[in-house]
Amino acid sequence: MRLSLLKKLIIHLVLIILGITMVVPFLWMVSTSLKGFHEIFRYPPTWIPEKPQWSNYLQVWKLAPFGRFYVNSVFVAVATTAGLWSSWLTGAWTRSASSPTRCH
Amino acid sequence: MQETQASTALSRKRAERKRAVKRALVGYTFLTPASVIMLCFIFIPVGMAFYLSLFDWDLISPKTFVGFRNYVRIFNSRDFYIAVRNTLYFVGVQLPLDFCISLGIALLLNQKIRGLSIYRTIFFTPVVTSTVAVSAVWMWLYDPFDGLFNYLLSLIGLGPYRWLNDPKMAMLSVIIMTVWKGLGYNVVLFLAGLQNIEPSLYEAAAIDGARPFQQFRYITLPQLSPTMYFVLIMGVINSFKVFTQIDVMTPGGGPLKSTLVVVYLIYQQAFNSFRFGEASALSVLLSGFILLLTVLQRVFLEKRVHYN
Repeated sequence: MRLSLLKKLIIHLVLIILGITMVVPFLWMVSTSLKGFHEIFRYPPTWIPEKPQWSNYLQVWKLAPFGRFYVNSVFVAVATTAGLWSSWLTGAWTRSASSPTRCH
Repeated sequence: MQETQASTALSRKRAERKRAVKRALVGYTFLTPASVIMLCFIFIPVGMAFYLSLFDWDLISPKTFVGFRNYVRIFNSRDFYIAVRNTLYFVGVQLPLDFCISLGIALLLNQKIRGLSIYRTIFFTPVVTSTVAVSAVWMWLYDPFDGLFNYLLSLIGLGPYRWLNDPKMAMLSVIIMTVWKGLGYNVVLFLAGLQNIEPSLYEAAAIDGARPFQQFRYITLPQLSPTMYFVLIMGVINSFKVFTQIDVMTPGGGPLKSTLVVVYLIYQQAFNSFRFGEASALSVLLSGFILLLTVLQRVFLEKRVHYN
């Protein structure tokens, strides 16, 4: 099924508009993370921070034990995945081995 | 001669049985870890919830048996009806929106266009992000004073809206965020379903002179019905269980209890009011209702699902 150029263009346009709405909150999050305290509340809002405050990241890292948080999250993720996979694999194997249609 | 034949047959039978027993043993061993975990963390707690629903209990004082009085109390409380209404509103708006938009996006993505993987990634990003983090970001976006949404809407002369602070809009605001976050998951499911449809079906239909709409109605929809059925059942279950974004974005049940949903009410009863009996009774009612809905969907929809 070949699509006409116009039709393709319209599809891309719709998808791009929808895609922007998906991305905007993330861009806004990144942009705000680099703003200074007063710029956050500025109206009308700015998209690109006038002076990126990279120190925000450093500060937050000092304020909370982020290293510990990451270790905790990784531990939960690895343990959960390992637990799920071992149950899935053993369960699925048992299910297929006990199935009457199994070929020997 | 006959005797030896009989004995070999017998020993073969015995060996076969021994193998079967061994296989069963291996099977049960394999199932043990998962079964133990499910027993400890699903089946026993479910049983406990039902048991506790018959008691008055605040975690500290001894339990007192009250029979079905917790249920009576629930049906006599106003909050319960508010929560049920809000939950039905959430499910009734969020589910169709999510379903239709994600199906639409999947249909567009299925048109053999360039950049499919980029689009798919973009739509899937919110799904893999933590609900709490996303809720926090959306709270700024919804901010009545310097939020981005009010600014963008003011550019086209709308607003300002009070979003999460407005009893009439709070739930809708949570729904919009939920649809935004959950969309990508169903897009990927629908897309997989669409890509599994045999192209020869469309070719045959085109030769027979089927219009695009007819192709959609008589090929795409039936071929996609197993995916749609799955998305619907999981969607209903997940929608009724909504809690995280409600708790983060509108703590305390929202303005005038406008976002008080059933799971939030359960949480409040248990961990704010320490009425574990009532909370358990509510949980039993909610799971019973979800179970009923799922069974009803099976009964009425599954025969309309087209399995190849």
